[in-house]
Amino acid sequence: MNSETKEILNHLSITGVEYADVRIVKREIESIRVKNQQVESASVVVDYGFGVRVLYEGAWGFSSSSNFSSTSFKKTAEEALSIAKASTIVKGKKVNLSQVKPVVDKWVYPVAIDPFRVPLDEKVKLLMEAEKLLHTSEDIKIGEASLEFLKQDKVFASSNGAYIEQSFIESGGGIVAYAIKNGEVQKRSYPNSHGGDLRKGGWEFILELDLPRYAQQTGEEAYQLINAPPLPAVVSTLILDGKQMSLQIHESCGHPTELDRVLGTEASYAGTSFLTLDKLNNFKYGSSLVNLYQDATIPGALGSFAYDDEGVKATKTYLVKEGMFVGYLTSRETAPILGLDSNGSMRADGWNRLPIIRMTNINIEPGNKTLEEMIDEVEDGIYMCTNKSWSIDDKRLNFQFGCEISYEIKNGKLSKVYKNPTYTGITYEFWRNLDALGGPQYFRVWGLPNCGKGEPPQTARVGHGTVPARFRNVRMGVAK
Amino acid sequence: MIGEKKLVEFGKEVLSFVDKGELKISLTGTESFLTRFANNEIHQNVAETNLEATLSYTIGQRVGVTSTNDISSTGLEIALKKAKSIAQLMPENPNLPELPEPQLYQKMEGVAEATVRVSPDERAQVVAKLIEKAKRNGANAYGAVTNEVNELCILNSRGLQAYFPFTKTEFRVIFLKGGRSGYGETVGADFSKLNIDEVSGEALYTCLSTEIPQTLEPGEYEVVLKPYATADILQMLSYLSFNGKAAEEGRSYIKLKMGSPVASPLVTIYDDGLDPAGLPLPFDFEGEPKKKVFFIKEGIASGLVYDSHTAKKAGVNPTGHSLPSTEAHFGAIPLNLFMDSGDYSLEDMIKSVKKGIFVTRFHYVNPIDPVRVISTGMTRDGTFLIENGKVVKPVKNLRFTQPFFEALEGVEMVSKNRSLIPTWFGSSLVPALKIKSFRFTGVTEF
Repeated sequence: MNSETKEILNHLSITGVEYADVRIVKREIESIRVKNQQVESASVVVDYGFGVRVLYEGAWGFSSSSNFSSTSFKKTAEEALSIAKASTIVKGKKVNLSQVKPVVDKWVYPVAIDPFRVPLDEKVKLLMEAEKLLHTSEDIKIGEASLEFLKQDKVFASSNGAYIEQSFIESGGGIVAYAIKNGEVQKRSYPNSHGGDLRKGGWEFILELDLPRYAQQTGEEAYQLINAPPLPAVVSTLILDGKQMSLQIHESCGHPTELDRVLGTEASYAGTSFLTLDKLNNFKYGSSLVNLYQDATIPGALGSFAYDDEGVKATKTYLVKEGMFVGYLTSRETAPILGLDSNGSMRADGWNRLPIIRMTNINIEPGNKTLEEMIDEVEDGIYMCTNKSWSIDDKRLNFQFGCEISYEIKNGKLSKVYKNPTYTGITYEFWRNLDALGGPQYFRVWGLPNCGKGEPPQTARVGHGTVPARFRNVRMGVAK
Repeated sequence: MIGEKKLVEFGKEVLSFVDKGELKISLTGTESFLTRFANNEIHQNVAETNLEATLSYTIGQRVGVTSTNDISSTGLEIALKKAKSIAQLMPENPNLPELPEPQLYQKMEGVAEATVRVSPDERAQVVAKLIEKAKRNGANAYGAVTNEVNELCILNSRGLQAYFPFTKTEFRVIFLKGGRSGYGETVGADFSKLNIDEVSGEALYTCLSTEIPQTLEPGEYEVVLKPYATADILQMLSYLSFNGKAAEEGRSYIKLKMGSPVASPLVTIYDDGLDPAGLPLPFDFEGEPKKKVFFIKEGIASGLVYDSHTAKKAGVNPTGHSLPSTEAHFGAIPLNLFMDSGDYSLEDMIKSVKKGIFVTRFHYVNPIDPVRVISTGMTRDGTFLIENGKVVKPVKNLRFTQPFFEALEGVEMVSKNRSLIPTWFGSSLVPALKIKSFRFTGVTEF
């Protein structure tokens, strides 16, 4: 690909061009879905193209194409330049990019078993077996089992001389049981909702998930839910499992620490952030137990990589330390505003999208409690598991989450099941009320493949390392 | 644009390589452009050119799907072989529908030359004008201007051949000043007819004509919803309730209540892919002609949309609302929604409210209960208290947790004027609504 990137960048070696980069991205995604013992869909999607970003006299332009020919290289590079020139008509502050050492490198994430070489009928057989076991009662009207594999080869080259090749495979899967009775639907998922769990790695991860082993329990819990009472409205102690913690962190810490949102560049779509610049190192985000960080270097995590889409090496940095808000997710353009270098959070959803600030793996540091200890210390409370619904305001303050299942905690013991559990709060008040965290034995990085942001819309695959956590004085059960 | 001749030739060539079984090929060509602005400057300005081929290979009762934008002969050969091999390895699906025979489509114009010709400079000039307006008023402008040219071409082994080129252009803006905001959005096929001045003027007026928002206690209030908020309600219903797949799975409220009242008699909602007042498309991704489908007619649950898969299981005919083969598991979705207008102006509606809330738009709406469509979300970019028929002050944004069908039952007034609002892939032409009760369950800090 070196000759192609050189050819494209050569078209931009002209006066006024301050910087240019090109990415060539090839993705292959295989998806298989089984529903009620039928293969609902089996598909392979190949998406291949290149995108050119150019900074001309302080203004950006970007163009992209799936046509690989010298004519198209020239046309696309020239289009990116003419778009950048148009941007100068309404140019604002001069763009200063933080320094990055131009790197020539190649990164290939290893897999033990290439999932693209596992025969399709073996995948279908696994899904059929797992799906069948979900049907533990007549009330389980729908069983779903799915697998997804992604293979990506990406080349990044910049006018500064960087040339980076990155290749990886991601694998994931999950099962869902839907109990449907009298016009009501209840669902239960394993290992997580939103497509299960995904990781960088191969078929070995699917074997590790062992979907058939957990199918019966998943079906039984869906059956329990359809026959359970709804969670009553209450203000009480809430314990979240690690799966729901992944969404809580995603929405209330990941998004508001994206510096582009803070600076207003997402205002017209997803919104801005309450974590304004004046709050950096000056705002109590949570209790002193709360340590949140971004880390793109965790082996196998969905949000890991070697370099971001500006050629910046993956880093680990703190966002919240001992409860204080201490850092953002940044890019080469935004970091200098803080007098910093980029921490490598710029990623694009494929060849045809501009890199924007995205979460990497946003994690919480474990505490030292067992889940049993956390429950044992609660007289009255609720334990909620697995995200079902999510909503948060456009500055990421007022949130409301729904979970798949909840359990009453009475005198330090889990008791009856409640359906339709929801909880709501204001981000910093909620995190300030955290008083216990599960120990390192619970730490797991969950893969979330569907984080939406940007215009045109982009989907990012991110990770969240979590443990169970306990929060006091939480308002629950608002849905009737 | 690639053009019908080239795309059809290309599709026919792929079809000629099918040696056993049947093939559907859909080709989607896109040239899209977007200029995005924030803090009174252009910060993202992008273009994309793409051509994708999606192949559904059927052998008996088995099907395999591939999609590729590597349209070199090698790329297509690989995609075709892969689709065939997936089909060969699939278990039989007794419910697999047959490919449609050749169809007749309504002739219509989808391309506006003005949209095809928009240059980056012209988009930048639109933004420059807007920013000038914002600066004059001490506000900041945020938003996007887009234009795109799309081509959809579908062929199958039974001789079906469909081609339709269409343009689309969107404009949205948020003005921010201090703690105040105003929003405007519009969509159309023709860039020269996009009512940018009207929409941005209204957004700026909303932003400037208010004071710093005050906190209002959550509770049940009468509401007047601008069309942006109405469109959010319809979008949620389109996926959860109007979809033949939801009906098949026992989770569509419309199906459960078919023939019974589900909304106020003032409410009529339908999909019409042929109505030029929306963003018309004469056929769906299977090549089925679009049919007009009423979901709610004068308050009565009336119908659903179906693709060939859900139609076969339901024992009805497809309605022309299938999605691309790679997304077919979502079922059939209406992309050209309409809600009938009523007799009132926005002012009439506000005058009728004793104590209520005027909502410009919703944000981050998600369902809690998919059957009754109990949804939660926030208000955004202009929320006001109405007292004794007058808008008295802006209020901080509120969280709602509201069954949407109950909201439709409570519709008391529908506006004469409607706005065309962009949705996932299509659009909704919708009025403003006055609803007698809406449940607000929380409040935020701005």
